[in-house]
Amino acid sequence: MSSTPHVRAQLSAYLDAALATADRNAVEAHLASCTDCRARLAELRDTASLIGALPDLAPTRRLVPRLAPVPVWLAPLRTLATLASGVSVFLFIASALLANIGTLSAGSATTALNAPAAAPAASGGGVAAAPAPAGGLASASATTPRGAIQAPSATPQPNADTSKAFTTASAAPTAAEAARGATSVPNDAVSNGAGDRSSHEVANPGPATNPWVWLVLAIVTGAIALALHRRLRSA
Amino acid sequence: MAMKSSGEESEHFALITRAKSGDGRAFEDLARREERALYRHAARIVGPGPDAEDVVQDALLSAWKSIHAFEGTSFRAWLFRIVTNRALDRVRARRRRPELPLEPADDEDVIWAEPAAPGPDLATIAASREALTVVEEALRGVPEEQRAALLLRDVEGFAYEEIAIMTSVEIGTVKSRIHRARVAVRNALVERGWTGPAG
Repeated sequence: MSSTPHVRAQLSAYLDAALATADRNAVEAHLASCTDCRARLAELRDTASLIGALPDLAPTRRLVPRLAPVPVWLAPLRTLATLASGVSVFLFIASALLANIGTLSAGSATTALNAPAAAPAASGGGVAAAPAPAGGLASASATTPRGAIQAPSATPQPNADTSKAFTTASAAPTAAEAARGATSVPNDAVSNGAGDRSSHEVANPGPATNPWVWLVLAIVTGAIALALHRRLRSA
Repeated sequence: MAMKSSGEESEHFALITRAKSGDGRAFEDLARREERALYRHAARIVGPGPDAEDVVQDALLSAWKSIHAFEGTSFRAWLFRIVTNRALDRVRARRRRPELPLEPADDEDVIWAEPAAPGPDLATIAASREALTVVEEALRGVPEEQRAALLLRDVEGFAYEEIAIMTSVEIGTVKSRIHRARVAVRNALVERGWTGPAG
């Protein structure tokens, strides 16, 4: 046991080498003869090590302010991207609606348009097939007046022929399937006056007529606009 | 605190010079290096989460606005000074009735808890997650001025002189705060059955 008073109050500073030389010497002299103070010092040393070993903490967001100047073209680009996104959404809706209208008119137009293919199969002769396109045109004109206008050469035929073409077309599944492609652009089919050719063209619609292309474009430009907006806001 | 090579040091000073002349990107580079450390320091004073993040964000913005006033050699210490003061202000503002910081009259009055019964020593408990949880809990119970001083010393590695400047108190006060906070953490460990290295 040491004869000098304990130096507990000095132990942390001694541990951190923050004592003046005279004080440090006094502490060391006491420690040499005091087991209790040596034990306290060891405890404090280990406590400091534990505090230093505490797990790191990470922020959930960026804390450094953005100070670098924002490029001048960033704001106009954001506006452009926003507009492009809006236009793409509009085009998507418009093209999707057009495609749906075409499908709705398919019930009357397609069956009639494909009568040339269906009629021979049903009647077994080429005679019944001849008047069918005309009948198809008359039927299509009920839903798509433009078709009727664009086909001035169409000759009105008796109703009996039209209904016959209708029933025969619906009875032939292959004809109905072929007609489905043609329905998306009934006007073209009618104005050309050649159902077979038009159904061929529509079978592979170009990217401009595919509504999903516009939707993808809307999403991409929208994401760009959002990213630019966030960048501008954080500046 | 990691030592810097001479190349890193000259780059660091070049960044400080550029930041002082108004280069925002240079300041961003400097601040990003300390972002995480500043956050963990603030989080252990005000508590982890949005409050601590706001403290650091405000402090960095304030540091940028007064970058021309930076005269010292340690940019890190300067940032820690601003963050520490902001964090302490935040804790004081939270209180309904502000309390005067309780500084001890004499460090000899500090109470040292005695282990109730022999338990595991530090080598055993240091590896356990429980010990670190006990330390975190014990720190939360330490008055914030003492806690800030202890964290600046034991976690961030600042010298007593630097802590005195950063917290605008006498070096004797720093000495006392660190000692009291450290003994408080030691006592918390002892109360959990730790007997110390000699136990």
